[in-house]
Amino acid sequence: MKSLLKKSFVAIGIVAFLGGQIAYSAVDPDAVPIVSNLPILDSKTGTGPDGNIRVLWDINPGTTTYTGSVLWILDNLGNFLAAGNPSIPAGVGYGGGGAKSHILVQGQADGNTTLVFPLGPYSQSPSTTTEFAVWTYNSAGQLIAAVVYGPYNGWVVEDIRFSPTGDFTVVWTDGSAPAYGGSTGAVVAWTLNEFGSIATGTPSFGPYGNTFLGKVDLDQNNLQHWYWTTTASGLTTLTLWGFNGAGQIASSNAFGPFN
Amino acid sequence: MRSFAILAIGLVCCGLLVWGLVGRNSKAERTQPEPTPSVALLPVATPTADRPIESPSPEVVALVTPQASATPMIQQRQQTGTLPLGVSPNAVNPEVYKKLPGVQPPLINYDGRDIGPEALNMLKTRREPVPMPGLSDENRKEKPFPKTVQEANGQVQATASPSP
Repeated sequence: MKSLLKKSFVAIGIVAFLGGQIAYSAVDPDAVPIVSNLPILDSKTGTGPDGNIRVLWDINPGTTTYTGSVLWILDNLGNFLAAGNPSIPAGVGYGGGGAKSHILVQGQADGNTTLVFPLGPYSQSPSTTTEFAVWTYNSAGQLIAAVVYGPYNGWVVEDIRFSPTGDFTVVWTDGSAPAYGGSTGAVVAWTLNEFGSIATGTPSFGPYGNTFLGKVDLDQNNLQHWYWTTTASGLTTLTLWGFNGAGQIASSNAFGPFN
Repeated sequence: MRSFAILAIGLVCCGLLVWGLVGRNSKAERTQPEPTPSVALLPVATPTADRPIESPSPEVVALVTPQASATPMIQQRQQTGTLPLGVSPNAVNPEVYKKLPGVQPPLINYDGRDIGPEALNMLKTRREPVPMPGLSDENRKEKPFPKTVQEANGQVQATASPSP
């Protein structure tokens, strides 16, 4: 009986897999972050480019019990170096339900640590993040930079994403995609440095019919790359834009549609 | 008499064995690492609507903040120059913010003071929505997706860009 049940599950799995392949025979670019702007799901503990380890302690995690977070900086052997001062207050660490804080943590090559707090009522699809704050601690745990951006009429933060260089992008949109990550409205993307200072900002692009912006990321020179998808008759075209340091489009390449 | 002596020696050996084992176990217990501070057992402070921004209490923070080691801590100031550790003189590009009227640049700790209270106040301040800097409603009307770089840049050439 047990063996029969097992075989049935395997058979159902195979049928579902093949069915999925047949139903989605079009070729889609995997350019849209279905889960974007969701540090709540990710671990904030890890090694930075300076070799030091950052640990974020969530204090009394829980929707109604959370009382803040504390950053620790450890060396590569796990020896304690410093704790962030001041600690992170509860009001910015929790965007909504769940059991983890809603903070992005990025170690920097120079030993600093950049924290980004998405602010505003929490919802991902569509995004309801209307502001964000940035705090930067030095390697001794001293706060050396702080800033808050927003809110702007009708605009939400669609995505915040660190690059390996330590800079990060913030995508603002007036049309957050309702079901997945991505933007269907007008879009502006900022590049910020480790101190939360705006280094580059693009003009507003879009909205474009049947086209939405998936991911925005940075290359090794901190130049932005945008990934657009346009869908027509069930087929999708991927368009890549590369920006120069002045926030102008320097390159545009389209691929597809393929079937 | 002989068997009594053998029994006594056996008892002494067993006693020594037990004593050795017990001593070893208690030593092992003493060398166990210190337990990680349990945040689950800390006093709970429930956030309220009229007090949304609340720092963890000093007692709570102290429990997750280890004591400083005897090793000298990282210097608060850089060895050269007068800027605090980690602060770059180019942290902010003022030219970018000139093109973003109304947008405040980051507060940078150029003088080594404690900016914690200012940073916490910044988070507590309720801000009213303002227009996205440098954009007009004209920019937000639906357009055809541009096919070339020139076409794309042409759609926005009238729009202010905060880039340097």
